[in-house]
Amino acid sequence: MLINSVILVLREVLEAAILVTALLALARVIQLGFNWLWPAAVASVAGVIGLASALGPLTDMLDGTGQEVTNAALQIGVFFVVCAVILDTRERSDGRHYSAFTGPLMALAVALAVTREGSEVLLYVRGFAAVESYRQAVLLGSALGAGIGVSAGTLCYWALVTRPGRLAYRLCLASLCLLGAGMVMQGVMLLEQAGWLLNVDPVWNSSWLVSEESVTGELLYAVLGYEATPGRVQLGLYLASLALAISASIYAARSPYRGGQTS
Amino acid sequence: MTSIRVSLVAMLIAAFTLVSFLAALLGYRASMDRAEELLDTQLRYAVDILRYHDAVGAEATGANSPERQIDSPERQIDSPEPGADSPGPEGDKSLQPGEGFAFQVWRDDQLLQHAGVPGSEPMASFDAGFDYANFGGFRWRTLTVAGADGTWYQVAERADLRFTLAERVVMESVLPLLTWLPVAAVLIWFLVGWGLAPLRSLSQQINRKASDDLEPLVFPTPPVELRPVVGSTNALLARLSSALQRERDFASHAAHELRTPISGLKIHLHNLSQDLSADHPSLCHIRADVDRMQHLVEQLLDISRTQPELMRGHFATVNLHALAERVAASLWPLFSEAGLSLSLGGEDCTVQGDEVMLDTLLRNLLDNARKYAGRGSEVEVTTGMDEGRPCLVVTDDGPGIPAAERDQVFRRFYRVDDSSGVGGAGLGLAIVWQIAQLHGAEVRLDTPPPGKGLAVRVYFPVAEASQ
Repeated sequence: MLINSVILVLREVLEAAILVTALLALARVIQLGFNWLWPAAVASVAGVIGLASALGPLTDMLDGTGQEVTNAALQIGVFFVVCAVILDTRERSDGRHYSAFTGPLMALAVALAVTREGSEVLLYVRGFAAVESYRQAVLLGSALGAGIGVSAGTLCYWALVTRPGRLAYRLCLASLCLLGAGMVMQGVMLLEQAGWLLNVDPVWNSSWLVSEESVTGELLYAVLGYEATPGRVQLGLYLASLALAISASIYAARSPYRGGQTS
Repeated sequence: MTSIRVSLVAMLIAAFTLVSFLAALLGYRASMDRAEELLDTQLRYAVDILRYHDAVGAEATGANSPERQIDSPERQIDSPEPGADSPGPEGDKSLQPGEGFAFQVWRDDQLLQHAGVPGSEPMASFDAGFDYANFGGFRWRTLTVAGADGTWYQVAERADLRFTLAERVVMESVLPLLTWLPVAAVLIWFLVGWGLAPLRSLSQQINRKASDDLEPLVFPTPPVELRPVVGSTNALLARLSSALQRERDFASHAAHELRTPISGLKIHLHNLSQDLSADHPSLCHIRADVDRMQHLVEQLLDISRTQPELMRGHFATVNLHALAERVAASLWPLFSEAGLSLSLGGEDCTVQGDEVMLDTLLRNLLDNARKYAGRGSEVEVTTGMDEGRPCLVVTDDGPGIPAAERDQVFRRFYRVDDSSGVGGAGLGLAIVWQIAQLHGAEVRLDTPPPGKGLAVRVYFPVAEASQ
């Protein structure tokens, strides 16, 4: 039970932690500051509690696929907001890499991601911790998973912000591209579960290398949306989203005013 | 602004948490693997007991009834009930699937004995060895062993229950990692603080240094990481000290070298005025230019001498009023010649300062007032306590300085744009500013009460003698 709790919580926390730390690092690199964190935290808590409370009615919607569709919408929503954040960090004529919208966009991305991942964790912990025999294992496993996820995020943050200015900016954008595309992949998989998309003709099968059920597979799924047998639609949407995010990054990184410092 | 201490503590706690939690998980998995081996061994023992029981029972009864149930070993050992009836042929209902243990004995597709599980179907396939199977609403760990005469012994233990005890034991060893994490965080906070003590000491030593203190930093045994910083800083201070000494020497030599030819020029001008008429236009122009050059040289030397980095003031207690009286008396003829009145007011007050520098400060203020206030103006020097501090004020009723320009007039060579045609290099107030800085004084410009003119107020720090 403990190991299951660790993996489930780690999978959810790691995904949110890496995204949040990539945005935090980007905010520091572009000298935006962290004032946007407060509204993000409030919106995240409200979102987690709200979604966890409404999950029952949501699940019954759309012929029982409401939960999958909602989660997919949140994942894909995060991707588009992340793309908007990337575009908004282009350098302006006054040397700034942010506008009045950058902070709110970052807060929105964090709130959407934490709502999605946090509600899953909350439901899991609340459900199993109610059973006396599982309580200790679930709580301990959740704490270990959350600790590992947050620690990994913290170390990623310092790894990003301690790079030289321009490199740190590019690394932040690259991280956001991969995370965003991974979220689209997860969203597509959820839509397949809901029957909205068909997963036919797997392009490859990499189960022999990394099984989806293994711990590595679970963590790769969490961070990059790993799928051992991706279908054509999945792969196409993943590559399209990755291309979109990379294009936004290139546009932002090569914005006309290159003279400004980024750290 | 980021703090090295906060960054280090955050990184160390994160790294410590990550590594210790991952190590705990690896330890947990290894412990659970070991526990599974032990539990599997127990299942083997259970099969051995079952086979022994079966063999003994067969010998005792001399026959194998086609289907009979027996008490589970657990019930006989753990729950002895004195006087309890022996199980009937239809089986003992006390061993239920919920109790976590079950067994079956099959021979030639016929169930001979069973407990803890309905007897209609085998618990697992008849393949010898361990496996997992689902029945009775639970997942079970099964062991199938082939006996003699086509007999199959199957024992099973509920998978969810068999690890409960083992998991609890392992969790007890993992839990302290979590509960002691805050203690580790506090410890890391203090340890990092101690580790950064040399850096803090260096920073404080640099902060405490006065602007004119170019002595090397005192750091007898700096840590390896700080050794280059201390070395470079001391080398820089030495170079700076040497450069400033050269500049001091230059100012001193330049004063002599520039004054001498100017004095020569003035003597020759005086001689020329004997040969030419005193109001000869060229002579008048040359005399005015030489006077201006002399004034400029004096000001340049003043501004060079009064730089805080160069100046090594000889501070003593100075009576501002007495100083003002002396300077005003010496400048009075110039004011009178220019058609201005000069008056002195206020009271005695003392400051800690360099008398020569303060003399230069007041001379520049009065010189400015004389030049810019205009003929017929009244200039007043006042000394006394204002806002609890010694204060020197020079007031005139001339055109004043526009409020927008008052912050800039202290810059070197800055001149207020006016049409008075007064010559000047724009150094007077810059010299005043530098000398005020040397004395830790504050200079304010404002318009005096009638709403016309300029008041320059120099507030000095409270000197011990004036307290």
